[in-house]
Amino acid sequence: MAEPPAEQPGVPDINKRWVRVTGTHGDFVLFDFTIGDPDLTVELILPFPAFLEFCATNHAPATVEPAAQAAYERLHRRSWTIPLPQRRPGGASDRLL
Amino acid sequence: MPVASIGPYQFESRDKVSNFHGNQLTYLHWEEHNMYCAALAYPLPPTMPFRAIVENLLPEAYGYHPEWAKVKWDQVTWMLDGRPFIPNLDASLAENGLGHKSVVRFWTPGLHGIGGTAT
Amino acid sequence: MSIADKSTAKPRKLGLKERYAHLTRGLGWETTYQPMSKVFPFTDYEGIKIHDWDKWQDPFRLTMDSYWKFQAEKERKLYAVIDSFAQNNGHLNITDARYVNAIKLFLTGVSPLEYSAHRGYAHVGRHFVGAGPRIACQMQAIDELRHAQTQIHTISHYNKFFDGLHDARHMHDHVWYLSVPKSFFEDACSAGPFEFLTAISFSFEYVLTSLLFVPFMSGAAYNGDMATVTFGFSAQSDEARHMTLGLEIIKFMLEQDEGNVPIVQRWIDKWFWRGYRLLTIVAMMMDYMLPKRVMSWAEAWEIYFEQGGGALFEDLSRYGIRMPKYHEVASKEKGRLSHEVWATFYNYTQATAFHTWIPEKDELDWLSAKYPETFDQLYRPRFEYWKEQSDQGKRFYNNVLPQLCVTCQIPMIFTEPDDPKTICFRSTLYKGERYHFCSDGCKDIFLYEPEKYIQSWLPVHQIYQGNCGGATVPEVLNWYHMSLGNDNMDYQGSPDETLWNEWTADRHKSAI
Ligand SMILES: [Fe+2]
Ligand SMILES: [Fe+2]
Ligand SMILES: [Zn+2]
Repeated sequence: MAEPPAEQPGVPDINKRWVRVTGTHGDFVLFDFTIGDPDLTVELILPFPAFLEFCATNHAPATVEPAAQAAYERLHRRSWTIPLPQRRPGGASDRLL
Repeated sequence: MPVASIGPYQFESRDKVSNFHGNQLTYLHWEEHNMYCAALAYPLPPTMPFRAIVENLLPEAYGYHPEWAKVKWDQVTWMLDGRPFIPNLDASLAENGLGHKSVVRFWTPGLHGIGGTAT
Repeated sequence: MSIADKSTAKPRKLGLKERYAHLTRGLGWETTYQPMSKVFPFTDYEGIKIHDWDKWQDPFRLTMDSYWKFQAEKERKLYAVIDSFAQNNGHLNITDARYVNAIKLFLTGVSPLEYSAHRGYAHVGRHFVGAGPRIACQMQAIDELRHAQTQIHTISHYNKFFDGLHDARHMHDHVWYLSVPKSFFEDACSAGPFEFLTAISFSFEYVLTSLLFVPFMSGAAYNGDMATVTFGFSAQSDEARHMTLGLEIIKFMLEQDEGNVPIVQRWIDKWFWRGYRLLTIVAMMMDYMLPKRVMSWAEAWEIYFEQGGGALFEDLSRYGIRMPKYHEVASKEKGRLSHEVWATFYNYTQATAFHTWIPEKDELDWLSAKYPETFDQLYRPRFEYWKEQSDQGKRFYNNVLPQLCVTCQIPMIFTEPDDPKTICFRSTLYKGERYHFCSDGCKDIFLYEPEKYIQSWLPVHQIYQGNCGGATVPEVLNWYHMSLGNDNMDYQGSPDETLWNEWTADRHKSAI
């Protein structure tokens, strides 16, 4: 038998967006991105500067999971002291670590 | 090894030569010029003289390349289905040993693609 | 007890475990008036031996009613969001219209696979004996149908504004480059149920899917494409279950009988290679089609396969399973794959339902930096030459159809594992006829089951057999349902570009 119709809750607001950092990988930030409702979450990865830009353009406040805190802060600190990757002669990798 | 199957499993090749209306497939490839991303596929009559490949098909296909005009034909080396090969220009494809789905690769000494990058 | 008693008696609320037991109750019964082998004709012939189906434990124990409630609620929000983006002209928020070409390729190449996956799981869900795998496959069949559905909404949205998406279903079944994903899935669906799960649940969903989804969704989000991120919401949340099914089936087979190990290993080898070849389009999207880049293909391969996959196979080694054959070839190719593929589509854009272009200078610089060992040495001169020619009105098109690999159906563009300047040719004779392959991986797959692959519907050969509408480009494109001069050719001068520049004229003005 059909259940009584559930109360029609509001439509998720697409302008409300959040970011939650779940980890890092080298220079990349792993994070969950949510639009309007926690059910609407997707797992993303971006290089650190792109990540900051992404949060800004989406007006998305970011939180960091406790387990990712230390690694994220390291990435954050490094990005202020080391210039963006430059191509080095001799094919050296661009890894900052 | 046969296919693991629930019954008899036998099929004809979808590309058997008789499906090509009297033609056979031939693949041609100019080595070290990978601006052309893969070997070129042609349906050709087995009676066609090999000369038609050199004088018609290849210039049409590769003429755009800046090194094409510099090819010295007397120096070109050929490979047919993985074996060194010297084509007889006036003999037919069949007489030259080209069968259905044969691969003809050729190298042009001194020409290594744009900037020597095999492009 | 009378009916009246029943209706007034308060039903005891069942726990999750009990409800699951009721859901699956009797699903694994032993037949009486027909032999089991007739009711389940597909469980034995692949050679996999199962002694105890009850050893399959479903870790999720999801019941239909909770699945229904949860997904309905999620979907309601999802479609509300899709509508909001459509009403707010979401397509104008993307970085550049070139980006849409990545989406066109994804929506015509990959989205129809969601539907194929639905069919595949519905089929094997019927044919397993144990209740655990049957339920898991049926749930996934519904998931995949939902994925297809949400992605069709994205197709419908972009189809209103850009070319090339008006007939994705027809194109998937006809167009030359789409025969690559199509034949991949048909190979899996025409195998037995155990191979199907190894192919799709394990090799594709478990081992390779994070390479497809995470970087691709990140690219969509970073380039402002919320319509695509929206279908990511729906697909990604189901992935945990799908990936678990993938690992479960492998461990179940390996634990049930030692004789299963070599069979499973061969399937892993085959489907790793087939999946990897399929991902070449993703490599190209990441390195060439995103106006704002996320990471290079080489980086993604290192993170998601070399590191992630390495750990997985270490774990599986206790069952006697090793890394998939030719994984080292894939690693050798990581510095060339995307460049070789982008150049291929550049060769043949006259016959694609999306546009290609030469990367801008800063984009070439990015590629040089990401590929310090290969890009300047091998590919940059090619693109710069093409750019030069194109600027003089002589844009390069390859006017002769390419040779295709019989197994993966990709043009034979890949180079020798140890020599990036020489095309890799492999071939074999079977019943007196020659067959050609792009790699040892593809050749091995053929050699094991030649009768299967001699049936390959190779688009180039089909054109030459006269089965694709005619012998000229316009005739074939017509047969593909492509609109000549709109869907195909270079991005430069395309209707997409013209419209985009009109729509964003204000943006440019205010930027200056
Ligand atoms: Fe899916
Ligand atoms: Fe899935
Ligand atoms: Zn292949």
